[in-house]
Amino acid sequence: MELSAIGDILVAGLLRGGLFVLMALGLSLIFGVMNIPNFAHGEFYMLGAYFAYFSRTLLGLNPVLCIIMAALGGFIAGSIIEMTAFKALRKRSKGNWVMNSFLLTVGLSILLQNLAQATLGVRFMGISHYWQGSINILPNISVSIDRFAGFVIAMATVALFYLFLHKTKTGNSIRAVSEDEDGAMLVGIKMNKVHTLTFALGALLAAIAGAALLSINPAYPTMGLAPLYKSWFVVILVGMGNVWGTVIGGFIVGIVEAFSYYNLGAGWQDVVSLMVIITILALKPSGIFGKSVRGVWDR
Amino acid sequence: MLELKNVSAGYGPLQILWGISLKVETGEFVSMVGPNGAGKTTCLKSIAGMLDVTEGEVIFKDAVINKMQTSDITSLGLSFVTEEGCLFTGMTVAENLDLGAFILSDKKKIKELQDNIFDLFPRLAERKKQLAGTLSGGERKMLSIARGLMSNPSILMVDEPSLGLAPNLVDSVFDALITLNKKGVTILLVEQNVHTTLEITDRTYVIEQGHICLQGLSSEMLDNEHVKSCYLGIV
Repeated sequence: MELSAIGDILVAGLLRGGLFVLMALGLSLIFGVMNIPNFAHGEFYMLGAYFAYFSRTLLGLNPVLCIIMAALGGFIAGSIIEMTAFKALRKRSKGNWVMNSFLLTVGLSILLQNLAQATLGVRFMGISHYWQGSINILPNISVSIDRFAGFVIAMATVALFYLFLHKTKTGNSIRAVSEDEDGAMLVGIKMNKVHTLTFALGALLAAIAGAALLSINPAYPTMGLAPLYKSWFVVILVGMGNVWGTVIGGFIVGIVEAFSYYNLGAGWQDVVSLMVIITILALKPSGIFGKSVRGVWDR
Repeated sequence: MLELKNVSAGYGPLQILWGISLKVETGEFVSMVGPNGAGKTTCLKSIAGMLDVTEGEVIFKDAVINKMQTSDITSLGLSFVTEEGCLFTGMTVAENLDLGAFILSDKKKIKELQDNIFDLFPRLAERKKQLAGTLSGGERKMLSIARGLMSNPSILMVDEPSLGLAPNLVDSVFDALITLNKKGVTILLVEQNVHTTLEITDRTYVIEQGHICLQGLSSEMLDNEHVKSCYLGIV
């Protein structure tokens, strides 16, 4: 392989990976804190894309504001869903929480997809670009500004999110709940608040990813499935509840995909990344950076 | 300050506590002793709101608290240090202590509490930046008690602080509790280390099979025939 091809693959992989990181962070956060395997995560990506589309076309906002609107929309949608669906489930479900909440997320996913289809239709709703033109990030490698901006937005969000989790009292209380629920209650942390906030933040991260990519992937009702699976790849690969692990995992999946796309063709990218994941899981079942695994049947 | 009136509780269909009544006054150092499985931990858990009380009432500072959430009970000024510690093992000692003060917002007060705790447990000050999960057993106990104190509680409930500790560490943990009580912290202690417990506390409840079977001044308990034969091994 030529040097320039390696450069191409790395750049394409990192750009893709940046948005997988955003999706996977939310997924990992929601599982780590609330023990919910969220299969409706892709629908928040979809909502983010629609929010950004309408902010751009109906309100004519500038790109940054569009993405902020999508983030807000995702946060609000996430809190409403947590307070209506999961809070109710938490009161009723005594045993087997992981399985019950998993089924609830699958139901939510179907519901949200069909709601989008019923109200907005199946047509692609995209924009040609946020920012026109392209830039050279390395000599001979030029990428569209939109892709590059998407990457920058993703990384800035990850950095802010990391600071929030580690430097603020609220962020610390979220981490505390994921470390030890009883301990968190005993120091006076209100579980309901942390749960709602966590789910809303996860939804916000997914919505930003959907909004940032709008000019590349237009909005349509089932657009969330592919990124959902990609982010599960990442989370399975690196294990739960580790911000830096998730960042690295997102880039690994991005680069593996770009590599197989380049060498084997687009149809092979999932095959190759799944093979990598199977290999890693066979050797280390808790993921590359994961601690112990909490099973579906544990509680 | 804290009163239990005929409290019954248990896990699902399994009832553990059968009408427990006890009282802890402000400034007292009270202990609860008894064999394994008698319901000591269950009793503390139901006071802290971690278990449903099926019958009776738990009263803390004139409020009935047995229907309240654990976090709200903590906000009222009751701090429970569990047997396992429930530490945030992936976070540093300093972060654990900060979270212990979660219900407080006055930065100066938090700093003052932390300074007091570092006086009490100088070991923790040395290990401020270390992850709680990397501490030794004794240090973890210290940290869990310290975290319980960071909320500036009016009553501290401690469950088996001596469990799994080397004898010299047991002494230092008990010394810390005595110092705290002298400073005015009300303490309800659950212990299996009966002899030491009776020596350091003011009053003691003996709990067997979910009932309170004896109560009185700790000093008098040391001479009680039942306590002597069952717990102290003196015939």
